[in-house]
Amino acid sequence: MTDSLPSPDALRTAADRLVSALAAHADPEYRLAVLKRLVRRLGEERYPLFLRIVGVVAESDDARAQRLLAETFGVALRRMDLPGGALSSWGATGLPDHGAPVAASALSGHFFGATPRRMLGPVEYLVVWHLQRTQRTALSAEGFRTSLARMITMLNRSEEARTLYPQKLAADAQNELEGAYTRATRDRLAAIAAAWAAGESPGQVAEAAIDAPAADAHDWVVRNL
Amino acid sequence: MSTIGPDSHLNLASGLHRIDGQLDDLRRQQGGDAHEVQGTGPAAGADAAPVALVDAGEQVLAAPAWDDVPGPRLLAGDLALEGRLGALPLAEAAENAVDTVLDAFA
Repeated sequence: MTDSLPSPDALRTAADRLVSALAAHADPEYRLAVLKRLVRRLGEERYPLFLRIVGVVAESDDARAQRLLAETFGVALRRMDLPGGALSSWGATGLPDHGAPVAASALSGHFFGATPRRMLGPVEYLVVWHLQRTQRTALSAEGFRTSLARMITMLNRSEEARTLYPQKLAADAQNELEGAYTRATRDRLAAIAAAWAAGESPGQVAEAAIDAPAADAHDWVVRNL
Repeated sequence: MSTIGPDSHLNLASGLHRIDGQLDDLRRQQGGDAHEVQGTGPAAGADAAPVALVDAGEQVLAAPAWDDVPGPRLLAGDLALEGRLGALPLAEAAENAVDTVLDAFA
């Protein structure tokens, strides 16, 4: 695979093959395994390509394809096992377990210097990418709005995903302890959860996330803890 | 009576002059006067204008997929792939599925 921008034809072919692959077996474990293996094979750096492939399905007029994909995300939500991407996290420590033996390999890379990374579901990934300092250049407001609306459009094809994802985001927004999210991020997650659960359109949900009253996106270091 | 007199080798004015001369040489070597480099002409301003950084991942997110498709945006459906994967055990089918999806970008 090359790192250049994927062509429209390649994106549609990949999306088409993904949907056909999901349709090949009715087993929900198989379908979830396909998504998770795809994410793993793409690697951290190319998680946005996974989001784009999903987005191609979301942008289509193919309701059956959207439903198949959304139902697989519904299964993932029920099992709390979303095909997620990794972004660096401001609050994680990465320290080894106290008292446990430490392998030499554990003391390289993320232990010395590099910030630990957290796995995030697709919606949470977009929010954190847009709002927090991560290893990526921040996602623009327009990119965030468009991608989030697309994702929600697709997820709404599954009643399970439409119900469970806002619940998960609302729970995440309450969690101050883990350090994955800043206060500003938690505010936006809560806004998304509320608008989504209220049945607002994908565009309105994305807009609610942009409009949510929160402190400046990247100003969390001192004031927003 | 002090035996310390003015040092005939120490001449502040001439010392500064020598330093100025060396700085002038350095400026010439670097292609012009330092003040000129700091000038804010349109060309210099354009060259120095900060480039808006866009993450490579955001470019992927924004990559067009359907712009060249007139009419309904329907996925064709790869029935041959579906049939082939359907005949495989689940784990093997999942691995093959991912290979096939990634091959689209090869």
